[in-house]
Amino acid sequence: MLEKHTARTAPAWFLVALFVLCAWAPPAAADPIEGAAPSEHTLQAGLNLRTDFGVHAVRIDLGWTSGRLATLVVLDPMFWTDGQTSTDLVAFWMTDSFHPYVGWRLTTIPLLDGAQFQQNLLLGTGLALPQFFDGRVTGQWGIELAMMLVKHGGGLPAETISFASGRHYIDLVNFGMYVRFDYNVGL
Amino acid sequence: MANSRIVFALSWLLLIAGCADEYSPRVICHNSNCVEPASPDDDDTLEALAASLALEGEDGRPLIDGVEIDTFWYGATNRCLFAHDLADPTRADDAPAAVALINDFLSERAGDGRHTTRQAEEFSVFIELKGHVALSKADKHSPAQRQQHAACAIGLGQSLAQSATLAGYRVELIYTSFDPLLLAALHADSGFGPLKSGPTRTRLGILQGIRRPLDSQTEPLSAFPKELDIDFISVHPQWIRSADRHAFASRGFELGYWMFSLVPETLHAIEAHRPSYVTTSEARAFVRWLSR
Repeated sequence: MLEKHTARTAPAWFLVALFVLCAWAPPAAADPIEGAAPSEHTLQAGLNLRTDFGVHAVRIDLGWTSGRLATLVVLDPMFWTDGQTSTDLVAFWMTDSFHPYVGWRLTTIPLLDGAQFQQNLLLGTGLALPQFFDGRVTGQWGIELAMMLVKHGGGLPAETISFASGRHYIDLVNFGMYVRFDYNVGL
Repeated sequence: MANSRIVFALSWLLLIAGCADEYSPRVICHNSNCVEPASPDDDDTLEALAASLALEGEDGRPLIDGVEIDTFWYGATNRCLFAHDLADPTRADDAPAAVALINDFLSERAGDGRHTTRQAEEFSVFIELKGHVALSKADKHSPAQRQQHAACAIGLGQSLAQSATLAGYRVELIYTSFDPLLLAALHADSGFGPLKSGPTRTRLGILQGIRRPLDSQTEPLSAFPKELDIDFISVHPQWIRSADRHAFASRGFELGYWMFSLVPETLHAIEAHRPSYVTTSEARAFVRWLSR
């Protein structure tokens, strides 16, 4: 129940903090997404939110956009609630509206004698949301496919995905939806 | 003022302590095969069943609280198989062989004064009745085959109950199926009433998985008549909606979750919904997760 409470209230506090930050911050140097010229660089930091069970409800975005290419690291500050962490490394191709991406997710599952590591391939696409505060805050809604290719560690035998039958892989291929709100700083 | 602060702080501590109650479902071995690394090709084989039953924790107790055995009525030869499907009917053993293995395992442990479960008072045996009689899931039972399959399953339950009585341990029988007609055939079998009224807890349960049209097995709840006294349902947590869980509760079903692989999506669902039973193909990993 404590964990659920934390999961519910944490997004609200993060959003309040982000709003305050945006209200007092200087404008971004340039429109970070739609108007970005290939030579422009932007740093992003923000929230990566979701309601499905694949990863924690709130994670932290740290990103860098250079022209049409955006790279993003997503960190998991909610590891303390249950010991699980999910860390993403993602590369987006930023067209004006759609942002297809490929990435990798390392999930650690806490077990009695250590953690099991699950290595996931990520494929998906984001959709640009309206911008706020003169382009300083951008949003993205997206869908993703996460495919667990390998799991290892935790004192258990390593396993790789197999497509021999549905029983072999059906739990290892999962779909999710997320929404991101990032604060952008032009360089 | 200081007293009220102390009371306030103690109230929070009590609240947090109350929220931190320990959850420990019954761990059921999926398809009689729950030793890592997961190998679905070995589902419902005597070798995998023996290896799964032999799993022990550091305290010497079994790692599981029960097993699921799949019974398959092979229409071409009128055999009651211990098998998940007909991928290799020549390799499949007869279902009584699996029950004999379970009886021997439990009797031996009980005879030695050792625990027969990880934590539960009864060893649960899920006896699943597969809903087709040939390679294709579209090959459904004839009425006569349903009766034969049900009679086979009742015989398995009688054997498990008798062994428990003789050796002095407790088992729980949960007959499960995706097919409401098979549960109805079980309920109508002359052996079911005496089994249910006997000392061994005997129940009927629904199985649900991927919904139509992606898979043809899962039937809506409305297909399972209330007259069957079904009180259990085992579902895959990633293939149900929140409304489904409310529907299960409205029918008074005890909840079980089943899974193939341990992934965060399933673990979060288990943590959030706290099913009474979890059927897993990875017993050691799942128990280590519960004990973390």
